[in-house]
Amino acid sequence: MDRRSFLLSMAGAGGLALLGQWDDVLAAPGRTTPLLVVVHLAGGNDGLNTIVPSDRAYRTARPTLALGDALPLRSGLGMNPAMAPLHALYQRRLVAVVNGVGYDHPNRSHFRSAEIWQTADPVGAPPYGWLGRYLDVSRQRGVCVDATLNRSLWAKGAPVLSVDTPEAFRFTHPDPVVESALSDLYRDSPPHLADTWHRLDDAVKRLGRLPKADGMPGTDAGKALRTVLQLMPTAQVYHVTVSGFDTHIDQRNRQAKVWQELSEALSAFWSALEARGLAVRTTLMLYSEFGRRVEENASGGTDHGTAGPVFLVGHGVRAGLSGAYPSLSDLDEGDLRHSVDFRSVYAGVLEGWLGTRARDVLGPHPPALPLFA
Amino acid sequence: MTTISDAIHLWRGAAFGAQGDVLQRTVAQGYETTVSELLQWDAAPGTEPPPATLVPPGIALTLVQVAALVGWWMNEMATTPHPLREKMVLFWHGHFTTSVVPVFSPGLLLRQNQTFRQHAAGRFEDILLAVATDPAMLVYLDGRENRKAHPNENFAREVMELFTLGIGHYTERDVKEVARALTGWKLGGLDGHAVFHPELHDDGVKHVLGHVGRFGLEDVVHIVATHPATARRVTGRLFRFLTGLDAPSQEADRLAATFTRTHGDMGAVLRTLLLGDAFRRARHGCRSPIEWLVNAMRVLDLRFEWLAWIDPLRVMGQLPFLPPSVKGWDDGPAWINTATLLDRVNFAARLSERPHAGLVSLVDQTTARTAVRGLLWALGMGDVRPATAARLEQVWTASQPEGPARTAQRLLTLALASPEFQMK
Repeated sequence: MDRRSFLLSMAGAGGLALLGQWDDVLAAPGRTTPLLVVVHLAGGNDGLNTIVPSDRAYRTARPTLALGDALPLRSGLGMNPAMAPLHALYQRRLVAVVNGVGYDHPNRSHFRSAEIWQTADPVGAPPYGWLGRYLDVSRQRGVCVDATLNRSLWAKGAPVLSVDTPEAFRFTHPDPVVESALSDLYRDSPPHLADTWHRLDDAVKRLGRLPKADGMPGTDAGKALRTVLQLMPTAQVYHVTVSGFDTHIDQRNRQAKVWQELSEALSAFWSALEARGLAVRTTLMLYSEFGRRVEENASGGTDHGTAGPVFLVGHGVRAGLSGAYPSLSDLDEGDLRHSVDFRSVYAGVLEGWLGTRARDVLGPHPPALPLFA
Repeated sequence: MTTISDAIHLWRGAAFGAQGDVLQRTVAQGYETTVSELLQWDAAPGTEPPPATLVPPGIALTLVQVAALVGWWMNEMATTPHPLREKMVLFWHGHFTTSVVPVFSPGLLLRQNQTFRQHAAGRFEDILLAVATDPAMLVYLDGRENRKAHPNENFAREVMELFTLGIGHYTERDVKEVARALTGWKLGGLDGHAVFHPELHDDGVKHVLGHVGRFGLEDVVHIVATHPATARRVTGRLFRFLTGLDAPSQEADRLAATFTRTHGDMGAVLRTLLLGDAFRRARHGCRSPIEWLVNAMRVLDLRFEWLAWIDPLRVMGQLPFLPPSVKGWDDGPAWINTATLLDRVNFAARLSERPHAGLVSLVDQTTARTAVRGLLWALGMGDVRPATAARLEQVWTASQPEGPARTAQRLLTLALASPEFQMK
């Protein structure tokens, strides 16, 4: 990659212009600043077995996978029973589900489709992510809970920190002589290295002073959301990835497991936010890079598909179901047709929750959905 | 005229780094001769793998078996007299991705690893064919479940998207047709060989990438292996793997042309690549965690501490046999971020905890300059910036009251954690 792309591919802190003037990543934004936690369900979550229809066509297409015991929502739709804790939040009118979300000319490659969702560009491959561009415009900060920086948060100048677990973020063999020497060695190194060291050094000092966050489950989803809890409210935008949704085989058990763990983690996360008084200013968004095909395959699973539901959780959302549930009879070669472009959801979040002009972040975009009350 | 900097760049790109004496020989005998030597290896399979991995497939995996497999291969990379061959094994491992987690059989993964070693610089079509019927791959990508009634498109898509052409060079219809052509293969018997069942194979006519015929697996392998997009993609990935940087477009053309002209001879591609100007100019790419650790193991004369080193290597982002996804690893600057750089610093400190007597005596000199120069030379870091050497000399001086062992510990930590050691 050329030098410019090299610089842009790293997390935040800008290129050369911001070296040495590192913005303090861990100082809190304003006390009424809305917070956004974006959760990527990695692998392509099967929407049909998440928000479950009651049509006969569903049971015909999925002789072994069709769920008959869904938790009731409305209009003949139900929720996968493994999602009971999330259903409980739904019943408290804290959950909005947007059905049939996708984009034209759907791509069924995990990487390309995730890239499309994360850059909000179905055609090109811009260097920045949509959350990164929002942070650049709003001059807010972002946190990615992961070992690598998620594409959504690739920003031109905004400070973004990627961290796996805060407790582990320390020098295991503390030695001021060594640390001082490393700071000197890295100061004059190529920008990617110099900048990474600077942010690392700064973050180690501050992450060593974070509060604990007990009560979260020890699952992958639980641990990731726990890290978000520990870091809140120091940044405005958080991105978390939960894996396990690529259910080509044995979907019944695998999807149930991953949704059960995620739902429990979300519920515990929400309770913790309420205890800390942060719930009123936090919205969660759950997305996946695509849904899955209508017919089950020969391995008790489903293959890569197209449209799927997006979830929003929070006090400010217009609770309930929106977006037309994809038709099971009018298919596109066995795949669902989307009715909502995912950028309408993004625009709805940008304008309705983050209070920013969607066009400044997304460029021209399909109409924003009224997602917030 | 081969400089020490050229030599270091060559050995870090084409191998896992080298110590001062090897670098000196490269300077003396020249770049081209060294490249020829690096490309020479006999058919020997390497050291014996641990017996724990020689269990029949289908037996559930244990942590001990995974660790043994990882440790064995890391030691192979650290001790082999044919490091370029091992780098190619690592390249193919990241290109034709499988992972312990869905496969659950160290025996199958080991066999695939040996296949990569056997074909390390052979013809691409041969290695693709071996991989397409390799049991570990069939299990990982659910090819095993590819039966006529519901051809599983997963394997077909990954073959074209990831192993050969890349996105944009095939259609969804090609995916479905290739899936049909790949039907009929299952894992058979206790030794886990792939077996073809004609009655489960769809032998109808398929249309694949502009070709028409009653294609089976070998036919599809040939079609995709000889597609021009494959030449460009595979050679481009190889350049990025070796340097951590993207090939300039002229170089990408040149390498693709070599691939096509030699019918996918990876040895020829390697020679062309390593002798080219683009490689010599492709400096300061980020080294991968495995390259970093194996180099450290080589220069510190360490063996892999299996179990203890598994997690540190994993959090650095690259545990062999456990790639994060079917895409393998993304070489280049993505290796270094706030989390992984901290991991390298901490691992450097850990590796330096008990330096062996030879390294301690290297720093036990009368002057800072002699000590630091000697140490950097031994570590194969003879081309560091003057400011780096000067800073290390300051640390040497400050550490004198605490004795040579502590001095060695600090200097080694700094060397392995330095910006220079992260780059090729």
